Amino acid sequence: MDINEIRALDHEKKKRIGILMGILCALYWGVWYVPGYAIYVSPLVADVYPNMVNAGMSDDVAGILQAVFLTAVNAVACALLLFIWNAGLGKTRELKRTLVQVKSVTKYYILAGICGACAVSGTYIAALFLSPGFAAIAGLLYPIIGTIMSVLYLKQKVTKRAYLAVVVLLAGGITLYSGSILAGGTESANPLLGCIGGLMAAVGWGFEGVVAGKALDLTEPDIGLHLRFIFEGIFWVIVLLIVACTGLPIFATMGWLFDPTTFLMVLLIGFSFAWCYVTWYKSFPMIGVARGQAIGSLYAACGVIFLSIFLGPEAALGYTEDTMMLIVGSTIAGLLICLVGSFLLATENAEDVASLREAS
Amino acid sequence: MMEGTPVKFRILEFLENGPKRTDEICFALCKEYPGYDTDYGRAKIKFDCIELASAGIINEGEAVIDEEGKFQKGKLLIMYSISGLGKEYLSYLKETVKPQKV
Repeated sequence: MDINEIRALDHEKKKRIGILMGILCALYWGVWYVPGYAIYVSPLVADVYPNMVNAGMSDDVAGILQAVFLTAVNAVACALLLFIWNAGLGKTRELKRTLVQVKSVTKYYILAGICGACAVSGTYIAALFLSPGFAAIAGLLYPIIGTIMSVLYLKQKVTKRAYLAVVVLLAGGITLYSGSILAGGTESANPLLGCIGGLMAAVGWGFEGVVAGKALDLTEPDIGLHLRFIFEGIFWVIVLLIVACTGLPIFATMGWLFDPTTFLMVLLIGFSFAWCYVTWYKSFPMIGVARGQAIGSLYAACGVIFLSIFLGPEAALGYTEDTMMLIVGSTIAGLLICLVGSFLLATENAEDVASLREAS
Repeated sequence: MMEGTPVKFRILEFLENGPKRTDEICFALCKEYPGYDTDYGRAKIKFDCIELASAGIINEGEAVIDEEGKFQKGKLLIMYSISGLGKEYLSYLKETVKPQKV
């Protein structure tokens, strides 16, 4: 093989690593839904709601505080587990070297942590006040913001084929959940809060990708995402401490962490979410923010598949005899459209992604 | 100035004075970072170069095949140079970096 052929193969390999990272991100994100749903009914999280109501909070505030508590547990678990990950990779010194560079890069990860905090809590709020289907669709809109901002702010180039793939993947994700929205409607005591939560998810994740993408130009993905979780964890701990200072028993259920089943669930949400982010951040330098986010949005399809495997299709998709055709039909149609979108990205010319920006 | 700072910062500074090949970058920088003077450590620096090139911060130039196994036998040794965007990032880093004791 001559040099040009080896170089072309290297570029192809780089693109494949990026796509693979995006697919792994979607898989881990999908897997996360299983312990993510289970932990909602564990006393660690479930009892937060009655505790808040008993302390005099309204249903809406109690629901929001429950979502905030779960997001905090998730972020702290990820931050702690990523120490094992980075120690295993021999990158703890690089973590320290990067952490102290607040003015040059770490400030972006502080911002990414806050955007992520906004997105994850938003998706819980949307799920709680509208429906899990609506939350998933709202979350799926993040690649639109991510793509626009990656072109305008990061000046990354996106080919026509990649734009088309982003649109097809989004259409697939929305189709996937449209059946349950149409069948179940979005009846809620407070739909406005649900919509705000959905908006927080889409805007939060979209901007997080772009802000992190900026810092990832100059730092390693494993380090970047660990910093992002450390800052998100600190952010939520401060929020929870403020809540606790007002006299609300927000930490009353923490003892449940010593229950082996609950601890295992926390470990599982931590591992699945941390690895989902590891692979999400690793895809950005390889294939760009727009493609990484678009492939990552396959999480909607993976979530449905894993929930169907572990909870059974009826519980996962939430259909009855009357709505089965509509919901199962839209799910299958959505999955097929997602496959087409993934195919479009996976078969993009590797030379188009060899460099994510125009030569300068 | 960038000694002891994140590896990607140092790669940019290292390329400031002219293009360098993969093996030159990896063998020089692995001595500066504790724990990097191994095959795995050098591979991590090489991967950082790949990510920087992917982001358009450094440019890929001429390449030769590593026939003698100087670094990784059979793989390409690529000449990297700092791009316009890389120069912008480097001046930004020089203004904002917190120098480290080495």
